[in-house]
Amino acid sequence: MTAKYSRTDDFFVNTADLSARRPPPRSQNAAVQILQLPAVIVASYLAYIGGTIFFWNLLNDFPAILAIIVKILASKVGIHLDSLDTFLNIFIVNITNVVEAGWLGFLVAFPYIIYSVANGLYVQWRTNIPIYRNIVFLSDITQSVFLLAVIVGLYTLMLNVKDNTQIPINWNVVSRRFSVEVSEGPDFNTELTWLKDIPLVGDSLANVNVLRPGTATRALMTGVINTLRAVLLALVFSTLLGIFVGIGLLSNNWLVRNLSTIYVEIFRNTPLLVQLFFIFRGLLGVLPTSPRDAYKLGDFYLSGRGLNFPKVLTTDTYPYFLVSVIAGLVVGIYLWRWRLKVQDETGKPANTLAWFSMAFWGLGAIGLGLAFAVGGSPFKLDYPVLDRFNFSGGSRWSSGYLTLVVGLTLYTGAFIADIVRAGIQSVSYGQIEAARAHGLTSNQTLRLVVLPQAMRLIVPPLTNQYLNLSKNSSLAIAIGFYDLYNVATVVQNQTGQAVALFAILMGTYLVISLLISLLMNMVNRSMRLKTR
Amino acid sequence: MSEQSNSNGYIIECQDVNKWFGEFHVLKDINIKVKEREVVVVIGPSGSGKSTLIRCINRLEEHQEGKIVVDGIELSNDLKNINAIRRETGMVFQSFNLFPHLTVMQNITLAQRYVRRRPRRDAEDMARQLLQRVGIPEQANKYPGQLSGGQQQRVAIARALAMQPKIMLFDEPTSALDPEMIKEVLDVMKELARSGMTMLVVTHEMGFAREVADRVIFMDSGRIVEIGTPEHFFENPSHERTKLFLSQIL
Amino acid sequence: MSEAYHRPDETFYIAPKEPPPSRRPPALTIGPAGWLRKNLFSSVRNTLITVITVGLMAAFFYELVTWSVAKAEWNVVNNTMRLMMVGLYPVDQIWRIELMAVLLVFLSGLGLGVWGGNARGFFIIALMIIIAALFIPIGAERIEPPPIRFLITPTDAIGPVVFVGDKDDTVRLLVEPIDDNAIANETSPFVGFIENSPGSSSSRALWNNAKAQVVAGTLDLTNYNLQLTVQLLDRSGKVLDEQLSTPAQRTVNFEFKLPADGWYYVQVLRDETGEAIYETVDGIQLPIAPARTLPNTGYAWIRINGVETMSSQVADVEQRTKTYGEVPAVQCPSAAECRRLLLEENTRFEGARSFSAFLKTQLDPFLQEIIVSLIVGFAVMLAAYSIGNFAKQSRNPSSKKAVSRVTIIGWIIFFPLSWILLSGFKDPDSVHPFLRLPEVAQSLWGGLILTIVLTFVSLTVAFPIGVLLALGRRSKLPIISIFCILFIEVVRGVPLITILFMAKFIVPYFAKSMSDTELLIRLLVGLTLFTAAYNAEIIRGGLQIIPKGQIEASQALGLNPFATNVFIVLPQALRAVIPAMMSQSVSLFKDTTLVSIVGLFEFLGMIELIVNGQQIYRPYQREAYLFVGVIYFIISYIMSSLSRRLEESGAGTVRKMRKA
Repeated sequence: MTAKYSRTDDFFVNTADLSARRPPPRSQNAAVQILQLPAVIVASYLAYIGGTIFFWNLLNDFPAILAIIVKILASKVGIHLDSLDTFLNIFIVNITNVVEAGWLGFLVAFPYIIYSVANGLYVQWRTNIPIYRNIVFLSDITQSVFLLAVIVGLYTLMLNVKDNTQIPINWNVVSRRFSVEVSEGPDFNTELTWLKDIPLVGDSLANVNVLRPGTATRALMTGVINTLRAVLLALVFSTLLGIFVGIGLLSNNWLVRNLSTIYVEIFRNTPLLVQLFFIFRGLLGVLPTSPRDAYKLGDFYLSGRGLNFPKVLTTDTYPYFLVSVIAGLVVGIYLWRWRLKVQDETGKPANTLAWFSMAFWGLGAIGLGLAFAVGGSPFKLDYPVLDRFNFSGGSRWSSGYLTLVVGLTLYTGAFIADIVRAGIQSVSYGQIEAARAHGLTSNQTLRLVVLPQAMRLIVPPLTNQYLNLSKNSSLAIAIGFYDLYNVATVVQNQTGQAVALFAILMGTYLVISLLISLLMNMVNRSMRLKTR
Repeated sequence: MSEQSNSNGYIIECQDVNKWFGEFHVLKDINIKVKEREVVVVIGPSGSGKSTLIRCINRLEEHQEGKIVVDGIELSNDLKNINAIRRETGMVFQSFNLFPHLTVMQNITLAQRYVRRRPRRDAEDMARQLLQRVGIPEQANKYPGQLSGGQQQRVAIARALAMQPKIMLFDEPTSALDPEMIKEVLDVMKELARSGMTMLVVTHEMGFAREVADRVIFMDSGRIVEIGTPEHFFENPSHERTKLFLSQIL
Repeated sequence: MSEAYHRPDETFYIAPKEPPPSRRPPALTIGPAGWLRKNLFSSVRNTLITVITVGLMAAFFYELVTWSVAKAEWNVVNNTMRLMMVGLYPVDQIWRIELMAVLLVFLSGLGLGVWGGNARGFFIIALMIIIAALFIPIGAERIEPPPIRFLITPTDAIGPVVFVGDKDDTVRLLVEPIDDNAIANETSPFVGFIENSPGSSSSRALWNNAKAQVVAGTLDLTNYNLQLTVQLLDRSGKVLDEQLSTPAQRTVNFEFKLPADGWYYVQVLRDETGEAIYETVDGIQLPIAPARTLPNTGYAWIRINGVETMSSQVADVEQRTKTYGEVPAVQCPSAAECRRLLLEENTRFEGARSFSAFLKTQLDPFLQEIIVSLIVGFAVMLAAYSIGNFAKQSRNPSSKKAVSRVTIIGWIIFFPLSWILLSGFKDPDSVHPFLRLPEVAQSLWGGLILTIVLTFVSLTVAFPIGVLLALGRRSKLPIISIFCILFIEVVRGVPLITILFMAKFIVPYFAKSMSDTELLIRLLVGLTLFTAAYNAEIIRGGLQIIPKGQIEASQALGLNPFATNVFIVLPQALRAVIPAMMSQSVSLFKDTTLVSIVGLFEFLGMIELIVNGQQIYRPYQREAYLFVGVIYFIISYIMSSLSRRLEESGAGTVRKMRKA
């Protein structure tokens, strides 16, 4: 179809040279430029909210006065609003609280509402777009209404909590005395002597109320340390177990493969609590309770109260040993890198592991020998000795601790095994074939081709499992192990300050989760495939 | 529907349209006028902003400066305007964007029933007519995943036509198709042009441009370089850039 | 082979007219031998692993099987089956739970039939289990109840042992004096029941004590004399038979056939006088036992055969009282041991039982409890599955649509309906005289039913909340998305148990009306919010798969955002995340065990109550927890294999568009 138009403005040749321009310039006025910075806007909004809360008492009288004026005016007209009060009181939800919260919500959302209304009206004046159809205005209003609803909801709940708790919320609960005996973890009834060693703030820190021996804070700190003890050990063991079983799931051996599958299916499909109870009551519970009848394996004593084993203490000659071990590590790493460079330049096999081991173990042995020569073994063992009723000396893992670690290991290990299997299977078989065709041995294929790619698929769900493990450690309350959650519950029972304690509790768990996520994110990022 | 009568018979008008993606200036001083029943083809190298321009016309992208008027309705933040314009324009995408969980019939009738508020019978009748028109009446009850690429794109065209738009926008409709199927889609588009629909087509198909277009627009790096009739454009281009481009593709 | 053919390394080669016959592969590479070789013994390392594993597994299974058959006491499960399944629900209202269960099975069968694939395997397995369950009791013939033993010590008095017997039962009483030091050196010699008195007064403890003394040399059993009279009395105190254990005739062994149903008791009297015992026969006094020279203090085992320990279940006690009358009052030789009822709570099984004994006493009662429900459930499921399958395969498409619509509507109304069924109405007669559903307080709900209620209600209510949260998280409006992100991350970052504790203690503060709310409702709120946050993350994954072009296409067509979400985005997203949602439901099912810590007695909590709260069942914790674990495993495994099948059938992926 040929065009019938021949007017010259249909033919157009652009002879101008239009290069890129910057976006439409903002106002030249420096003051306006500063005022439009996001930081300034946010800061002033926060200051406004702070002022609202600070002057809340004054501001709060306003609606009450307004209500009175309205009532007076209405009664002048002939409408009596008093009966409305009694009618509203029938509602179980506290209307006064809702009204107060509504007032706060309105005050907080007020600037935003004003801003969006002003903007909408300006646009309407300039461009004839009616405000109720302006999509910018509509989205602003939606957000401010949402903000209002959220603030009203939360503040009403807070007010109701304040009304309904008989015990006033006391954030100082943490300095009260904690009287329950917690028999493991750092003893919270002693002074923290190392605090004084901190420069500058040490002395004043040591005298702070909340850190005194016997307070709830110290007990909570002990709880945190107990939680960390259990979680870290369980993390390491469950990862090892998971890797081991995950590889077993892909084994050539029919028996090993199916047994691994059975293990994974059983421990994934039973609740963790059932497993913990079974171990705690069913297995450890049938051990003899009296230490006298404990099962003995060398110097390890297993009884219903836990596992007592010799404690490893360091002697005066320990520093010699430590220094040489660290030296061995450093030298070993240098040798490792040197050997890799040698391989790059000359092609000779690197044997990095052999050289590293030589340096590390060698220097370690030298250090050991040195320690012996100077003054004796760098370690000494403190053996558990049976007193009348109990063991003294040595260290003890209580049966609760054992149960928690073993249970968490078995449970999480099953999930990790499946993740490892999926990760290894995701590497397409063609890669393995190509590697083998190039002459790489089975080990080298695994190390250089399969594992790096498999790790990419393994790390994110692994992070998830680690987070689950740290959260599942709170089940220690069911078996009487004094982890953080158990301690917090005891404090809450004693003092009744549920709100303060749950805030502390949830905050701590959030921090632990955050730390694990951050760490694993760093690991993940270091393994990211570089794409375009 | 239009608030002002069409000025000078132009159904799409872009005046000094500028768009930035962040700091990147992607449309520079675009001035276009499209008459009713006109077929305009936009060509240019990739990254020249042709798709962005098309998407600005039905508000899938927002322009920062300038004025776009479609069928007398100005494109702004007015919700009513945006909805009205979307009703007047139909769009066909490069990746078809059919709804995979609905049958072909449901794909075509969905918007009719919920936007145009047509009863189901009428919507289905219209759908059957359109399927007949694009040449695949027997595929009405199949799912998009069971159709070939060319058939899917034709269904997409039928879906856009079902809203009875005044303007049809095509964003590289044949770029994702196998060579054998390009012809069937182009045939539908040619038939559409013959029937008098206003079409704004972004494509690489020079043959189509030569045959069907009333005007060709060449864009490069976000600016309009040359506008002309197909004869002028392909036989006798004026701008250096146009000559360079044509020498590389023809 | 027709003719010799040229070797292929020559220049020319022509193949023979007929191809050589195909040969079988070498014998050791195929068949069972080949399989073994490939899978188990393919290399030296593999062989070693196989051998070690087989050894370990054999040892483990041997231990496990012998423990469960011979030593474990599974009656802790049999006797408390009702408690574990329905908690403290009033017995006469259990028909409501049964109705709900039948409905549930019916709806599952329908769903499976209409949408599921081939479930024939499942039905065949279920049928085999039922047939096995029906036939096992037949194989277990009536066996002798294990004997009951009491130890007689020099100092303890033995109270009369009261039991119940039927007419023509043969009761055997055996007194075995222990007058040989060698016997003391044997390990515990008995199989059967021994009384379960606490601490040092039980027969077992006394026996161990005596053994220790013999071994230490401080006790010489041969020095003792024993003069006992063992009597069998009936309810009214009339002596039915008695025998004497004397220094001359130490061992007493007498059988007695009970004349009638009722209570009997065995009494053991020690002759303290030390004088000779005479019996008058035909007017002549014959000495039976000479005057005792040694102290009448010896050790002896009294063994009673042919008598069963009686159940201590309330229902059984009532039944027993009805049939045999109240427990008789008996004379007490001393205040310390007045009467020993042969109740299961007073006795404890020791030793190893035989396999047929296991079948009869442990497996049989269990099967009797469940066989009826198994058969009914199977029949209902089969019927529903057939209906669904028939509708799916019928020519008329509208019948499939009708049945699937019925199923969906059925599932939707099932939840509120079952809630109403379970809880009843405050005023039973007010609704309709026909629907007499008296109220059952939620504090009485418990057991497996409570677990199912918790799971289903949380899932259902959390679903729309999760969808809203996921959509809000992806919203362009920053305030909404910040709020949703904060909520989701906080709820996912804390352990479930903290949320449940919060729900229990803090929710009542939120509104005055809620401080009277039942614990169940409060915990449901916590569980629901928790599940909603996790669901939101899953749904967000599904939302991310949807290509942005679809949303653009629907915008270009003029659909408003609400319609876009409802018709385009959500159907695809939700279909894509079905497998992930199913695995989340399995997780939720397992997480409901945590409510037992907070005080609600669902399945695990009920077991805890039974095994920790009641003295008689306290030694049997392993059996109880094993049973619980197996039940949870079965249900979780079924749900996760269902989801795996769903995933494999492609229901989980977004329907792929064919590439052009």
